[in-house]
Amino acid sequence: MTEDSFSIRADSLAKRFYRTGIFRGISFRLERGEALALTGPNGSGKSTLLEIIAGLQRQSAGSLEMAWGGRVLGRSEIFGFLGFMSPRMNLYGELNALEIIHFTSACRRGPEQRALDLLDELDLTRHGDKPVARYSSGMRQRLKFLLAVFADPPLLLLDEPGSNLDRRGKDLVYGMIRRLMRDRIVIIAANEEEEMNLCGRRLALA
Amino acid sequence: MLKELLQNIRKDFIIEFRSRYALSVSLSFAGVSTLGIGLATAGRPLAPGVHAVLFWLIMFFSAMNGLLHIFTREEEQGTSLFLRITTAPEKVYLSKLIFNILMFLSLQLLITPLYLFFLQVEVRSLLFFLLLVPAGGLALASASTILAAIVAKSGGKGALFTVISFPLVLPLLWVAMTATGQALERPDYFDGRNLLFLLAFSGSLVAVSYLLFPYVWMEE
Repeated sequence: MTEDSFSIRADSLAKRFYRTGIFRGISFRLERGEALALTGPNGSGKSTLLEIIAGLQRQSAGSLEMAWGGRVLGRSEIFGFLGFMSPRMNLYGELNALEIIHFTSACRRGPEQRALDLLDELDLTRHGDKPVARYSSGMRQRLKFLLAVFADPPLLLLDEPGSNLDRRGKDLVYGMIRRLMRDRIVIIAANEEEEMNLCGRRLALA
Repeated sequence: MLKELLQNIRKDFIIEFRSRYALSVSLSFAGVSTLGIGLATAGRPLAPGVHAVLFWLIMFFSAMNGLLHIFTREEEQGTSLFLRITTAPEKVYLSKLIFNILMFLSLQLLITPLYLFFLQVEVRSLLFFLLLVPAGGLALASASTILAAIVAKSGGKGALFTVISFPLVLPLLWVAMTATGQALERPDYFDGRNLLFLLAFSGSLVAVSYLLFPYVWMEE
């Protein structure tokens, strides 16, 4: 295990909301360079599982362990190691992209210049000073992707990264994901075959 | 830590400056209430005790209406998930607390002269009154911040906020009203215990809120 290696181990994860079971018996292990697609019909708990991995929700049963360089991380430490995007996550409509990047960069200690380069790569530079409320859904999706990846986290949790994107947007984002997954763990909650095919492994939630 | 806090506070002020929600709601409420009281009394002088009660009731409802928004906005607009993934809970709490304190103290700077001028209230112990108002404001803002977080996470609205806040803010309102009544009535009145109580109330509430906030904010 190298100094900066990141790993996840999930054993028999289950989630219930009150008496309704969402999923159970979910187990997997992932190391750096591996990608996992979470598949299943709507309501099967793909997004919920992603939020549990992100430390945003607690599992009802089972254990989830993340380690960095062999050291197991506490729940409050996880945030510094992950990039996350989800359709449920909205950005501040009153702020423009540059302000959101500046804010996120200060909070996540990510390099602002890298974010500005990605802004250009994702074809958003000319919209940088426009309030996010005036963005199209596809532009917002590209900005959310940028915010998830710019700090170079060893774990990427992407919930439907291609949703609302046109063909060009999908090519841009999927191309970047392919590049990024070489040296980190990527988990994608996917509804589309194209997103599932990005990952080497699949985990079906019934 | 400090940079992150400042960025969070800056972000909330930019959003408030562009939407002007808290400012508009609180000032409208205070303005309409003061005007209503002025018209209802038709210039007749009120007892200092009555002024003290009316003044703090206006402050209380201004705080409840305006400061609640700091957390409910995050839930209503779906930005809380972004904030939770970007900033540590303790920093979210501290930045929202500082924002609410600064916002409410600024509102008090506008509401207090408005009330004193329109209702022609004479303050006999000016120094004590000038210390009491921000001390009470600090306590109200501290209580409002954690209650706003609880209400926002429970999916509740403003009505619930006012109801659950009342038992918590009752001691501070009681002390603030009684002390204000004395400050309006008695020349050279100064009771440091009242100020100390309000400051200690804020301090204890902030300490407990700081410890409890991660559970309110993160757990679903």
